[in-house]
Order: sequence, then structure tokens, then C-alpha cells
Amino acid sequence: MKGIGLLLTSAALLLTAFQSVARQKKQLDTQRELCTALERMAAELGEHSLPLPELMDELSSDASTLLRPFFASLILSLQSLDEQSFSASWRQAVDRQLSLSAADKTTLYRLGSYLGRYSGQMQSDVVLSVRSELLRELQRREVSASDKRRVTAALSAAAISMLLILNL
Amino acid sequence: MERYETALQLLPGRYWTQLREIAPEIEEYRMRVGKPLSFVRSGREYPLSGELVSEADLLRTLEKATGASLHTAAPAMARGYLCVRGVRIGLCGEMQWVDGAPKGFHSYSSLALRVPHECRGICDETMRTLYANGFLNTLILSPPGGGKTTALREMIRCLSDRGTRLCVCDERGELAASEGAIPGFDLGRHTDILSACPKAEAAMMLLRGMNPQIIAMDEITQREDLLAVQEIVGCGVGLLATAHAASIDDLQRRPLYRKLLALGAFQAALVISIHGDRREYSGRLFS
Repeated sequence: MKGIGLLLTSAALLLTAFQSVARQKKQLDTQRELCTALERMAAELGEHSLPLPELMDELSSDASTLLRPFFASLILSLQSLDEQSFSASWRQAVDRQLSLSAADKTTLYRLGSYLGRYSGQMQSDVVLSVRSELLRELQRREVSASDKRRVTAALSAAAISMLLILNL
Repeated sequence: MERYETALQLLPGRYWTQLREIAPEIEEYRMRVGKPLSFVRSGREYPLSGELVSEADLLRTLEKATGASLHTAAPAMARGYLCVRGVRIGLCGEMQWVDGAPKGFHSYSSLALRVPHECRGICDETMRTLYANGFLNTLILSPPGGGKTTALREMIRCLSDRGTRLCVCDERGELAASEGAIPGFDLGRHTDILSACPKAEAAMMLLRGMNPQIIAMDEITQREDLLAVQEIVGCGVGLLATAHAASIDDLQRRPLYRKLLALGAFQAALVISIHGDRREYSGRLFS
């Protein structure tokens, strides 16, 4: 019985640690891909003044499974502008489709009130400024994630060792 | 979709029910920030009861008109209007100037949505009388909002369907209201349309490339347009155009139009006058 208890407790500890690491990795991957997409968005708006439906279509077709639902939902909202403004749809899509921290989502909301409303160059500038904020945050979080991974691994190993000692 | 429905759907949704029944008769909608939405019918403006128009309403209308891509309409907007499936939206507000040239708007205070109409047969009688001995270069006159563009569109269609090779300089995209390559209005079987090009350049291109028998253009309003008229007439090509004036006397009072008349380019005028809810079309010959 002691052996089974030990096994289950260790498995639970490892699972929790693994889930936390996986969630963080997903957030970081999303943020990294989003930064790449925003860079392209800024270029297309600034250099070619692409209409938003065309732009979202291009971004969606090149996006991975992490970002595709986000762009797909924006494409749908652009087809039903009678129902909701684009800025409201943008906010909704950020909330529902992106796996990001609350602070990053707040940074992204800002874009919704600029996209499609100002000159291509002005939109491009705002997209780039939002991108650099996200990128800064991403770099900071990547460092802290690596630290956190190390601490989590050490704590998990320590906890399992303690359990082993206590049960022997 | 009917044109009036297109225009109606550009307005905020809260007005749709109130306006839907009378929408087919409406010529224009006016949205002014802080004022009630109003509409123009038979040349008169009527305010609508209900919530006042806000700047957010104006932005939503522009967003719907451009598919949330105002930046793609920037060149037209810098000239104070944009055209969506035949609906012309006039803009007012604080303009943005860069290097001495208008680039767009910082903010919007008013929009005027002109609803295009197709009225078949309105010019039949006048055309029969005027053109009894063949086509005459014709200037269509009316005050703003009098229906010049509608009359021009109808004359183009009639002449073209009778076999005349007709080219249209559609600078603002309002005459044909094309979506892609397909005109939204029937402009006849023998009509070629050059849109989004200033009239003077368009006239030269059409003369060089399309071998027209008649060239049609809307709204002669500036000196450059006179050059286009001169070129067309100089090449022996027929001309159909419109101008803002209530009558021939009114036309002669304006310096630009005096110059136009001095060119001797037009032999006839079609004058549109509004009497209550009715429009009257009368043909006159220039002496």
C-alpha cells in the first residue's frame, strides 16, 4: 500500500509540474508566433495597404494551429460588420482564441481601435509598437520560464526524494 | 441587393426598422454628430426621431462601407468622398494634410449618403424631341440633388442600346457603380466604362484607345474638365455631360460655365426642375 501511495503522489506531483510547464510553453509559443504575424501585418499595411479581409486571410493561411482560429474568427467578423464593430470583434477574438496572459491580452486590445481606421502607415506603426511590447514581455518570460522549469524540476525531485526517504 | 437597401445597411442598425418602408423613395441620408439622422426625399430634408448620431456611428458607417479598411479608400477620401456599390458618401470633419496635400481625416463630423436610382424612361420624350435629327452634344442641368446623374445614366443606356458606341468617364465610380468588372447599373449594350480616372486623362485615353462615338461624363466642375471637353469636341466625338445649374441663365452667370459655353461644345441642354414631389425634364437648344 505504501508503495502505491508513493507512486500516486509522485505521479500527481510530476503531472502538475508538467501541466504548468506545458501551459507556459503554449503561451510562449503563441506569443512568439503572434510577434511574427504582427511583423508581417505591419509590413503588409505599411507597404501595400492591404484591405483587412485580405490581410487576415493571408495571415490565417500561413498560421499554425495556435493562431489559425484567431484569424479565422476575425475573417468571420469582417463578413458581418453589421452586427458588431471590428474593434469589438478583435477584443472578443483576443479573449477567446488566444492563449496569452491577461497583461498581453490588454496590450493587444489596443490594436483593435486602430486597425482599419487610419492610414496604412499609422496602423503599421501601432502594430509594430504593440509587437515590440509583446516581444519584450516574451523575452522576459522566456528567461523566467527557464528558471521556473529548473526550480520546478528541482522541487519535484526533492519532494519525490523526501517521500522515498519517509516511506523507506 | 437594391441600392436603397445597400445605403440603408450602411446606417446604424437602430434606424433600419423606422426607415425600411420609405427607403425606396429616399435620395440621401445625412448623419451629423450630435444631431438626429435625417433623410432627403424630393429634395427636402426631414429629421428622424430617436437617438442622436454620434461620431462612433459615423465610424461604424465608414467601417461597413470599406470592409473595415478605410486606408484602402484613402485617395478618394482625401478628395472628400468615397463610393460604395454606387452609394456616394460625402465626408466632413477635420482634414489631415501632409506636405501640403490632403491625406484624409483626423475626425469626422458629418456624412452624406447619396442613394443612386435607376429611373427608366424618364428622358424618352425629351430625347425624342431633341434628337429628332440626330444626336446633339448635350449638357444636363439641375441644382445639386436634382437627379442629373440619374438622367445621364438613363440617356447613356438609351443611346447605347440604340447602337451608339459610348464611352463613360466615371471618375468617382458613381455612374456605373461597378463591382469588379461588372457594372452595377445597366449602361447599355455598347458602353465602355473607364473609372477612377480624372476626366481630362480619361477623355484622352478613351479617344486614343476606344474609338467612341459619344463620351459621357458626370459633373463638369473645374478648369481641367474644360480641357477634356475641348479635346473630345475637337476630335469630332459626341459629348454628354452634366453641370450644376438650375437653368441656362444660371449657367451663364458662372465664370467656368461661361467659358464652357464659349467653347461652343454643346448644342442642347436637358434642364431638370423639381416641382413638389415631381421632376420635369425639358430640352432646350443653345442658340
